[in-house]
Amino acid sequence: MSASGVLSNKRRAFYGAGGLTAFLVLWEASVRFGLTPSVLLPAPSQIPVAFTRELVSGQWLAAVVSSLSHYLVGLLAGASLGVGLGLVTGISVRTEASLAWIVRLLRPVPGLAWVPFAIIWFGVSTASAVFIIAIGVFWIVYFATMGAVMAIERDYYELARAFGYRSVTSQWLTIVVPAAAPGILAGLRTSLGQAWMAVVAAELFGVPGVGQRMMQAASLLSTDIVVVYMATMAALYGLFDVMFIVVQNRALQWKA
Amino acid sequence: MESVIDIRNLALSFGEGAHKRTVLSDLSLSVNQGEILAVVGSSGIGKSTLLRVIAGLIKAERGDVLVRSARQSDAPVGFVFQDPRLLPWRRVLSNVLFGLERLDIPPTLQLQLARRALALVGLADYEDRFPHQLSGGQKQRVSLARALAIKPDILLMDEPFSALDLFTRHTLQDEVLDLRRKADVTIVFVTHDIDEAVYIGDRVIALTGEAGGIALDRVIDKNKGNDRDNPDLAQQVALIAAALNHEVSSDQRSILNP
Repeated sequence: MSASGVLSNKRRAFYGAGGLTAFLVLWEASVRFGLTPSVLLPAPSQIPVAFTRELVSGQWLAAVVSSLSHYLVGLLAGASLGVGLGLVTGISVRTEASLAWIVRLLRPVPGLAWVPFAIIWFGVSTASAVFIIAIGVFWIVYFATMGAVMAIERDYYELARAFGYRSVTSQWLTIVVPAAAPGILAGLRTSLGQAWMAVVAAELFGVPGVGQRMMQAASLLSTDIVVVYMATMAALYGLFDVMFIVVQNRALQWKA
Repeated sequence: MESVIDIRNLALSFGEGAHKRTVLSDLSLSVNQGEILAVVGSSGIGKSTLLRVIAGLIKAERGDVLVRSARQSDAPVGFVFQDPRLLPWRRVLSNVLFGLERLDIPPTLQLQLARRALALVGLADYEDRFPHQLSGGQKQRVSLARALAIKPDILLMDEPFSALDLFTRHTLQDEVLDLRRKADVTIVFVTHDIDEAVYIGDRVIALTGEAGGIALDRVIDKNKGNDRDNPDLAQQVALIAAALNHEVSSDQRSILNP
C-alpha cells in the first residue's frame, strides 16, 4: 500500500487520532510508571491543570497578547519589505545586480546574530523583538517574491504591451502582482512558521511574552508550564496557518 | 481603396556582430481597409516579426511603418497570438475585458462590449469559467473575443489556429470570415498553411529571406465561391506552393500541369 492516495479522509482522520492517542498514552504511562521523572517531563494529564493556573493568574493572556503583537507587527514589517523589494528586484535586472553582493553578504547572517544589535539599538523592548522577527521573515518573503516575479512568462508582458499596457506601473498591476501571487503567498506561509520561531528567540532575552514566560518557568523547573506555552504556540501557529490557507485558497481559486 | 497599413523599406535584424541575423530586409507593403491579407512563408522567415512591428511591439531598424485608424479609435490594433495567452487568474469575461479596462469608457459599456464579443465567438455561457476549464479551441475563441472587444480597426492574427484540430480549425476559420463581414475589420493573418491562407485571405503574400522580402503577392479570386472543395482555390494553393518551392501533392501537380 502506498503512503498516499489510498486512504479515505475518514480513515485518515481515524488513523491520525489513533496515532495521537497512542502517543499521549505512552507519554502518560512513561511518567506514571516512573520511566521519566515528572520534574523533567510532565505527564499530559498535568497540562490542563497548569494551563488553568496560568489562565486564572492572567499570565497566559498577557504573554499571548504580547507575543501576538510582536508576531503580527514583525510579520507585517518583514513581509511588506520582502514583497516590496522582491517585486522591484524581480522586475529590474539593474536593481537586482546592484543589490546582489549586499544580499550575498547579509543573507547568511542568522536572525539570532542580530540580537546584540537589536539590544544596542532598541534595548530590551518590543521594537527589538519586532526587529528580530522582521529580519527572519524578510529574507524568506524577499526570495520567494523575487523568484516568483522572475519566473513570470515573458509572453504575458508582450500581451500587456499589445493591449496598450506600456507603463511599468500598469504592467505591475495587471501582470506582475497577480502572476507572482502564488509564489508570494507560498513564501508568506513559510514565514508564518519562521516568525513564531523568531518570536520565542526574541523573547528569550527578556522581552515580555511567551518566550520570556517559558524561560521563567524553566528556571523554576516548572516544566508543565513550559509545555503549556509550547502547546499554546503550536495551537496559535496552527490557527494562523489554517486561516492563511483559507485566504490562499480563495485568492488562488484560479489554479487548476 | 484606402490603405490602413503602409510599410516602406522595412529592415530588421536580431543579434549583434557575428550572430547578427537579418529577418526582414527592405520590405514594402500596403494593406487596404477591410482586406484580409494572409502572410505565408517558412518558419523563421519573419512572419510573426512583421506582425509585431505593425503592432508596435518591436521597433523597425530602418524604414517606415504607418498604421492608420479609420475611426480614430483608442485601440486601433487587436492582436491574436499563436497560443491563446489567456491570463489564468482571470475568468473568461475578465480576460475579454483586459483590453477594454485600459480604455476611457464607462465600466458598464466595457461589460457590454465584452459580453457582445463573447457572444460573437459563441461563448456567452462561459464567462464565469477560468481558462483551465476550457478546451484549446474555446481558449483560442476567448483570445479572439479579447481582441475583437476593443473594436479594433486592424486585427493581427499570428498563426492563431495552428495548434488546433482540423475540425476546430475549419470552424474558427469560418468564424473569422464571418467576423469580417459583421465587423468591417482589416485582418493580417499569418499562417504556414497555404490552404488556410487561400481560404481566409483576399490576398496572399509569401515572405522570403531575400531583399525585398516578398516572393509573391497574389489576389485570391473568389468569384466562384469560397468552398473548401472549390478546384479554383486548390489551383491557387498549388501555384503559391510552387512559388514557394513547397512540396506539391500529386493532385495539385495535376492541376498545375493538366
